[in-house]
Amino acid sequence: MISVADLLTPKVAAGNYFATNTYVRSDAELGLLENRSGSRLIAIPDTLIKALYAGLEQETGLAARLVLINCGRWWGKNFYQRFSEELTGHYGVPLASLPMVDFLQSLQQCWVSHGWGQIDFDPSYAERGLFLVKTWNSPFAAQAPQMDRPVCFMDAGILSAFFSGLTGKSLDCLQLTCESLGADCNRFVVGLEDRLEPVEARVEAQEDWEAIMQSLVES
Amino acid sequence: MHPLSDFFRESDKRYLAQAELKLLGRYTLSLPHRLAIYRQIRDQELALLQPVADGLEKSLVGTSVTAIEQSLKLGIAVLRTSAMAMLTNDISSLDDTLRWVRQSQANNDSQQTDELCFQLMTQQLEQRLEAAHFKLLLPYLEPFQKLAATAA
Repeated sequence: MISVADLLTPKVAAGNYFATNTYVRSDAELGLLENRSGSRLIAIPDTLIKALYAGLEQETGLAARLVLINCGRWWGKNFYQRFSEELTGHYGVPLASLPMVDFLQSLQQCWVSHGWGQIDFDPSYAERGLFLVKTWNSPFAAQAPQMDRPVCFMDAGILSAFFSGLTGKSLDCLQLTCESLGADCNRFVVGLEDRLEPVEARVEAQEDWEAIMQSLVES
Repeated sequence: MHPLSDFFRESDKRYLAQAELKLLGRYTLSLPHRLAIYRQIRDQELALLQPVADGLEKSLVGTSVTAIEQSLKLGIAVLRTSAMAMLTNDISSLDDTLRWVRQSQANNDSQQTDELCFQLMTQQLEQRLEAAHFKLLLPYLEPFQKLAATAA
């Protein structure tokens, strides 16, 4: 028999920590945005994202992509740490002990509340050591210059660092499809670097993502 | 934006019109009832939800305890959010919880269990609250019932 009394504890019925209306707070007089734990947030206007792409392109040329991926990695590393601390504090258990459903849903809500669009996971490849991540409405895709390849370099960096933090292994991330190229969503595959490396050229050539995933599964 | 804040947003510019004052008066008069409903739900939460858990276990033979508990956890969040939205007369405060429920259903394919959970919870509320009080609370529960209906 299910005991509701056991579910009514603050740790179990913890609610939605990243609920947008509760998570983001502002003080207009001080010009501050902060989250519910008091950490500062910054609002990035579209113009700044556009300027980042344009400025990096002008200053570093082809290396702009690498710079953005590395920025994303730094961002993702700190993001994982903060996400982990906040969620651990909220649920009162280490991240590793959190039920998968609560972890996943918190990350999805966290993504929305930070204004990064939506995120979802396709678990089909998890048993083969690969994470397939899907995102929608990414501001980094929306503001990117039109290229003939996926452009969410920052997102790829964030995801590689986030999953590296989560698994304790050094993981890489490749973007397979991009909204900026007319895809239904942005798809990323996260896995060990030496496993992803052989398909990098195929990703660059914009081969079908399912065929690439199939090769990775069989590798 | 909270509906009451709408009244006061232009307080340095104009006085409230007759119709607005009437609306505010109606809310003020309903406040003792809203407080009573909120207090009753808060004090009887366990007594109200245990029959829901029992009903779910009885109806959903073969469904895992984890899945039922997940729906109950959503039910707890829905009940608490709806009670607060009713107290403050702020239907927009349900938005975050609606998104949370929708996301949970997409992740766990739990529409059927959630729908039954919300239905049993509404039945319990109808049985326990005075008819007029239940009527006052219902608009804040309906978005979750409609969500289940849309998903089904």
